[in-house]
Amino acid sequence: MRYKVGMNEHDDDRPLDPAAMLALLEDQQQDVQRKLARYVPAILLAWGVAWLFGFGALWAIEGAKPAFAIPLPVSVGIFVGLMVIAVIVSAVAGNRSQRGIRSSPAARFTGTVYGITGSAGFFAIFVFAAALDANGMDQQLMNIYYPSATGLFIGLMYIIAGAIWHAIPAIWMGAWIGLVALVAPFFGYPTNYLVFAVAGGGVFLIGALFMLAYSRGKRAAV
Amino acid sequence: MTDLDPVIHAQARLRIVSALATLDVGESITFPRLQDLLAMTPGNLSTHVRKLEDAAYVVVTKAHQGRMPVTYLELTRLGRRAFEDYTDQLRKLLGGTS
Repeated sequence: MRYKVGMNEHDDDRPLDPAAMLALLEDQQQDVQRKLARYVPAILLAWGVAWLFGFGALWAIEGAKPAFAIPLPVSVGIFVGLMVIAVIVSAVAGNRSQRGIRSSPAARFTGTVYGITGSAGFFAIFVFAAALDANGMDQQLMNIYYPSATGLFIGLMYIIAGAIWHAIPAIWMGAWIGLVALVAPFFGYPTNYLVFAVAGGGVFLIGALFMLAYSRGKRAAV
Repeated sequence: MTDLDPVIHAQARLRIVSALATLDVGESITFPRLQDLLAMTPGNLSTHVRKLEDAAYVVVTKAHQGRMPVTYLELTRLGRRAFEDYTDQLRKLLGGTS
């Protein structure tokens, strides 16, 4: 911001020359958008950590044998715990960024449909897994099905979010997560979990750094 | 060449209107959050908001959150249009083609 508060509080009733006024206008709008995006890096960081160490823990049940192995209950605990923390961080940060802003009925409708679709989608993936199980799917295949089904769904939800809220980076991230979910099964269990940890967690961490640079004021094409 | 809208053509009010214009149509913001985003003093902000309200560019609504009164500010359709016209005029003055 070129405008510094308190410096010219008595002058602010006066105009500057047109070029300076246009610059003030553009700076102000960018500044507001950056401030509203201030909490996004925390959300992406939480998901990056959750994917890297959560999927990493699932991989480490059998993936690093004989060097080491994390017992199944411990790694499932780490995975679930980190995912729950990421959900909480997202909810708190989302609330902080939206505080004091009352959205329009149209935006509330979009947000509600999006939110319900998210919850319903995860539930559907779970029901579909139960149906596959009822039809005699090998338990080992669940290790392939669950991460890729949820990964594809999350990828699509990111792309749709990017389309609704005009966030181009979210579209790229969603496409990448979908691609990771498609490619990972070809590595087989347990390496597929390592692919999710590194390539999936990695993109969230890169996104967090990118958004941190953006909200700190470095110019970025968002 | 028509003159620039004197309601918007002042630093503080341009900043207020620019900030409000980043919100979607129908979105409103509380007085304290806007003050925080603009880093203005409450007195200064309310002085300029009153001028914008007098021009019917901004609508101020009072609501309650529990027992706390909350003041919401929103750009009116007239205000958004005036801001867009003002922006176009500035760009034309500066030789742009928009």
